[in-house]
Amino acid sequence: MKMPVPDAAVMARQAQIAAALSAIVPDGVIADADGVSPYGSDGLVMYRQSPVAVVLPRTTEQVSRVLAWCHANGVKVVARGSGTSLSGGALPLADGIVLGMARFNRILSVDYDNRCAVVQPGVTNLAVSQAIAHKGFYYAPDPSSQIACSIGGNVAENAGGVHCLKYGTTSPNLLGVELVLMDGTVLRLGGPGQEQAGYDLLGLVCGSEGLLGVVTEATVRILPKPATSRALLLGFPSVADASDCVAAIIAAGIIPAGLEMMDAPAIRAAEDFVQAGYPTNVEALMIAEADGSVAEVDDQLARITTIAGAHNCTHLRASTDEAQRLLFWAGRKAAFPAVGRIASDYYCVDGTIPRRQLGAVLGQISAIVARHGLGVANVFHAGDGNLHPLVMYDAAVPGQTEAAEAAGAEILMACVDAGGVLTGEHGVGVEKRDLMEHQFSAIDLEVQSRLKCAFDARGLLNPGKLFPTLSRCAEMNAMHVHDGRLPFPELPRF
Amino acid sequence: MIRDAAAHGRSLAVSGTGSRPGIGPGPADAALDLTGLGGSIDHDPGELLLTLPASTPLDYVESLLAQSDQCLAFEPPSPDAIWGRGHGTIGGAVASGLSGPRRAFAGACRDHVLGLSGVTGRGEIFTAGGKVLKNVTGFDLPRLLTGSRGTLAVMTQITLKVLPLAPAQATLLLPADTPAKAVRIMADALLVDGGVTGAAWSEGEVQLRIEASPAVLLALVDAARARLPASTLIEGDASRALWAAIASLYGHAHADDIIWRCPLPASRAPALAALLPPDARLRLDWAGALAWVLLPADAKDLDMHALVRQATGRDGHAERLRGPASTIPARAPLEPGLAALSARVKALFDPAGILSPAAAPGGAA
Repeated sequence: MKMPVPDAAVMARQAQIAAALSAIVPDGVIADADGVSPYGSDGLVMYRQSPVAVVLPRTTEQVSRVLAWCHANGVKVVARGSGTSLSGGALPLADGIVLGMARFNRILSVDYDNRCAVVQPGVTNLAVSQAIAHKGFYYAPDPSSQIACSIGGNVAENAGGVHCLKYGTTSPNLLGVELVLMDGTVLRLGGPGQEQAGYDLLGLVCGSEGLLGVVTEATVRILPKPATSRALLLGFPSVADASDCVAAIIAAGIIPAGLEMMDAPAIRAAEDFVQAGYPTNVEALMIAEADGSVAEVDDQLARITTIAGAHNCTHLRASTDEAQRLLFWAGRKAAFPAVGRIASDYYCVDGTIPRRQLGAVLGQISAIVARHGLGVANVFHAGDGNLHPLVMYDAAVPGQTEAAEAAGAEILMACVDAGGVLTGEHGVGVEKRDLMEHQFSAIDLEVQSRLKCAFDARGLLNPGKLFPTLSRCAEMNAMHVHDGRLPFPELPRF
Repeated sequence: MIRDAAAHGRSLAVSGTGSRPGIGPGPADAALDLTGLGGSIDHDPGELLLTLPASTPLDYVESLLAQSDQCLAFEPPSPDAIWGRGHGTIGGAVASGLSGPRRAFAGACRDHVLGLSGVTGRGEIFTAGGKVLKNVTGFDLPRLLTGSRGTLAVMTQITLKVLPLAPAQATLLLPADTPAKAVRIMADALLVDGGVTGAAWSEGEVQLRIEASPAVLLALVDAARARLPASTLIEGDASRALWAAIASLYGHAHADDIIWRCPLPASRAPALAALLPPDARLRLDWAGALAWVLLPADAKDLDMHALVRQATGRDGHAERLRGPASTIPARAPLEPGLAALSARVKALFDPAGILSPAAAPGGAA
């Protein structure tokens, strides 16, 4: 992975940088090699890089002053939540600091009448739901890492989960943020209402992978918990039957709360690991979950059962109680570690395809990994076409890590060629950065990436991620006919 | 054409059928009429996707989707009720960014725009987003361009997420003589997950829409009635007709009424109501999070921006969709930091400032 050439002058100033930032955040700067080591990588463990320093601010004012100082001194910044990104979004830069947001760990307010909560970015996803559970509410997006991943990271990556088809990813569930720009400007986008004035900058910031600003507060939409949830376990003799069944369910006007699929290797790995009662003699297993009132859930599951019967479903079980429903999910949610048991290493790929291409793309995936001498297990958010092939390899065998990466890249290109996209929920980060040119034209990328010039014209926030190259903002600014009267000097600052 | 206009600094009024004059492009040196955009329509019900030229008439889109029992879940309000110039195009609906009654439950217009192609103010032809349901690849330009009123780029093709039309619906009518009582009833109704897909208030009555499959609709209605104040029930086509009326301002706007649209936290709606003059008429939608204020023509200089600010602090805003010339701007200036950022965003898309310059958000032009 090629990163931008580090600025040796910045690295040489490490002590001075640490001292200056300590003056802003006393007891919140880590600069020794052992101390910064745990921050050296995120969930994409293939890559590792120590930063110049780690700064752990507690207040928005500190974030603003740290960013303003780094802006003035040409020091790059990578914001980090819990470090669970699977695409290297929080991978440090050799000539930059890591801005760790873990101390922003409070839920500031919950407003049940307006159905929203104001939370700090270091709060974990699951903690939001837990804090409001006693009132019968929850926060809908539920990425698999929800016990650890932070809301700030969720906003940066527009994180998804297994209930996206019905409840959406982070973006539709995000009402507002407090955002600090690289120059220290503090802005509020959106709020407790359902619509912001002016351009949808909130929508732009959500999923911008830490390139546009640092979120110091988020207002999220909360929902009353469904009265009941039940799941069906459905086994099929072929992936094609299962995938036709998914299309038929949707075409019948049913939007299940969850619609997951696993292929045979994933089923067997999960069953060996957690004994969820999965049938091991089927080629595809589907979990279909309905939620809502008891009558609604019964009705939906009955209709799904009928449709499955018409698509050669050979194994059917409905959860009879909450424990069993959770057991059905336990296998699916443990699919990654389960694959980790049968392979010494695995590489989780994340692409989205039009669902009808599933059979063809799975065939291509098998061929790709076979060509690289590796194995694969597939789990699939079937409802919204989001595919997670888990490429199995052994990092101890020379060449296999590179082979797994190469196979992952080929799989993602196959997704794009099938009419899909490079990432459904894990983000581009460093992992898929160089594949962006496969999905987008040079002009498409230019139109996107130059937006960074409006937020961070010096390119100091998380450079080297998301885009293969960044626009030269100075050239861009020369074309700004309005720049002469932009009110820069009056920007509110702390 | 855009490149030529940019080179000569000639502004363009970006427009479809001109159905939304109140929030349309405003004055410019020349018109960029998009009604002639060609292209095929690709509706794939099983994938929940619809790709179409921006010039496609909105009423055609809705009838096309209805053939497969699908819909645009954000229930785009028809501009005809407000401006009386037809139903407009899908491009206009997306560029306006307006969402109807189901917004509070199924998401806003911006949540259903998955991808688009267009032309920037520099004349670059680009594509953004994708043609799949779940996609986080790159910056979310579809959301940024939704509601940008044609001031950043000209959309030529749009991909939308479409959803099943609920097969059955009913509406509970609950008396509520004040906005405070109405907001309380609507908040209570939404404390539990009960299939509510519409919550509005007008003329002393809360309207609560419940949608579901026919097999379960009555159970949901019974459950709602059991925990809410006494109500009367209307079902099926009568309920559909009521919500069509709500989406089009109940047909209550008089021909010369001034129409203000004010998104705000629902709990602040009663405070706004208390500040309105006696001859103002208030309608609530989105469970109270959208206030429609209808004013007689002689109230043209009433500063709704100030009233909304007083009622909500920074949490609400107002836009005048229709009304005579006034000393009060249709949209309030953005806060300085936000205005500066918006201006920089505008300048990156349209450095010569030629795309619908009069429609840029306050401070961004």
